Amino acid sequence: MEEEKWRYLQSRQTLREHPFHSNVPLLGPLIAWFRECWNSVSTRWYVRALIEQQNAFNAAVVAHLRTYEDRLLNLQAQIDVLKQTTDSEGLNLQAQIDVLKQTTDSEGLNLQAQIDVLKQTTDSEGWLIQQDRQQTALIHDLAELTTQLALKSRALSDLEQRLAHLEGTQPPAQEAV
Amino acid sequence: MKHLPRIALFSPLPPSQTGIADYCAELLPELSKHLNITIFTDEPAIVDEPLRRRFPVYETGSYAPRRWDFDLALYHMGNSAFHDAMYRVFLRYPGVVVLHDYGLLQFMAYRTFSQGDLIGYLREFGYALGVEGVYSLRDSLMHSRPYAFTASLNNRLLDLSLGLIVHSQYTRNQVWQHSPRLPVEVIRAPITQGHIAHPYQVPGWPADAVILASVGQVTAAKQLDQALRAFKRLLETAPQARYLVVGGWLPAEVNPPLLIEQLGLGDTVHCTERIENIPEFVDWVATADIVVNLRNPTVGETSAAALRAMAAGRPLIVSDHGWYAELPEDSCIKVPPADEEALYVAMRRLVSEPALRQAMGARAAHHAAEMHSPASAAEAYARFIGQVLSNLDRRLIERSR
Repeated sequence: MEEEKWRYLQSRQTLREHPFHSNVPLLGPLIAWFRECWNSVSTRWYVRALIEQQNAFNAAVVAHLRTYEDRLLNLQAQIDVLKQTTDSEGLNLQAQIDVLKQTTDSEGLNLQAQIDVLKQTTDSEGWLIQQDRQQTALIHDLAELTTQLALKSRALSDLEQRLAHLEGTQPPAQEAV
Repeated sequence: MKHLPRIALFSPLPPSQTGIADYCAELLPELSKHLNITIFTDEPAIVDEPLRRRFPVYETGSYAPRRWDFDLALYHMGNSAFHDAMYRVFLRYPGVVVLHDYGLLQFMAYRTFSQGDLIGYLREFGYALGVEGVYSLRDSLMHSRPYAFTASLNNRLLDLSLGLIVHSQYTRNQVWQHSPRLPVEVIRAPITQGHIAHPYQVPGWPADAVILASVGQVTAAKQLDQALRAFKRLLETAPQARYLVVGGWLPAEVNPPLLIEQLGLGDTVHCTERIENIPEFVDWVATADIVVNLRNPTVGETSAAALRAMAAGRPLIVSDHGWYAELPEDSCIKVPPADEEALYVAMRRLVSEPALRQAMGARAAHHAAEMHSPASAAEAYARFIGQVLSNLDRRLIERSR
């Protein structure tokens, strides 16, 4: 709260008895004196007690307000400090996030490189396996052909023997296949 | 002039300790009636004398310069290290494959990862599952879980094969999901009849003991722990029951003596070492009254031990999936995989009902004789190989037109 307002509150916190006066020419002071006397007789002791009670209450209210004002100021100061700290740590966190992001990007690239290498390895191993299977299939086909050739060779040999028998000659020596 | 098809047959053979070696040895005499067979195996010098007398036997790696002498190569492929050398030949000279195990993960891991060839292992995962398979394997290896996969890793083999012989509808369906156009023939695994079994008497066991048995080399997948826990419960109501573990075990995966000790089973369980020859093995199988043949997980394998048990007239308790699910219902009790309660119930039923055991055993023996004879298997082999060759010939003619 502004200091001026505090001063205003402090100046108004104490009630004072109202002084009697009269604007009547010549008789005015007499009238005022009479009123004063009458007031003293009829209401002063009663009203003065009320004024004192109100003054005490006002003083207590002003004092409490002062206390709350002090607490508010203190809290504001703490908030300001916290805010500064948060801003500072926020910057720090942002820096850390930036670093992490850079690291992640870097490791991501690294992982991607490793995946690429693995993929190439897998491809080459897959290729080797494919070659192995194809070679096996060729060996199988070759074995079939070899067997067929052996059968034909034997049939040919039989035919030559029969022919030699028919011609009364010896069969030619079988050539190695 | 009609020639028998000239076949280069690749397989481990006795004395190699693998069921596929025994399988081939039993099938070869019948097969030779339909096919002109030359054997390629890793160690020709140690192959049993009767086979060497009967068939030309060469070292696996010597096939390349001889390949023109044959119409077709036939590879017996399984999920073990015994097939490494032949697989290398197969990769260059594919032919028809007898796929004894649908899943080949352990085999691939053996021939690559276990030899320090991580790239080779990655390559197989890449071939089978694509780039995702490669990355899955990398993740798994980083957590030291190289076998934490259900991948079959048989894709390359299926792609190369000119034809495929399998032993179950289950495996054929699996194959056709990947290779719907691949010629696939289901031929029941052959098992030899006629061996007269001489059951053993385990010292200290009562004469009226009802004997259950797990037969064949024990691995983790054969669920011996579940079987023995169910057996322990069984002893409460059937104290005369006993349990045989026949054929040794894989120490890296299981420890039966420790398991027996932990369960407090004492001398109610008897373990044998690995059995070196089939007659002795069959004698042990015949010692049992009930054969428990569990497998979980299954890699689409066929159990020769289960077939020998059937041939010996023994009822089976098997896991209800894969090849085992195709066994005849009247010869075995099928329990859901990993269902210990169902296993216990099946054990209790067969132990408490001798007539049921005998009836199921008789039907099992009949089924083995009727459906799993080497003669019928050999005929089916020859028929399928003939189809593969004639199809190739026909396609050549069509291509030349």
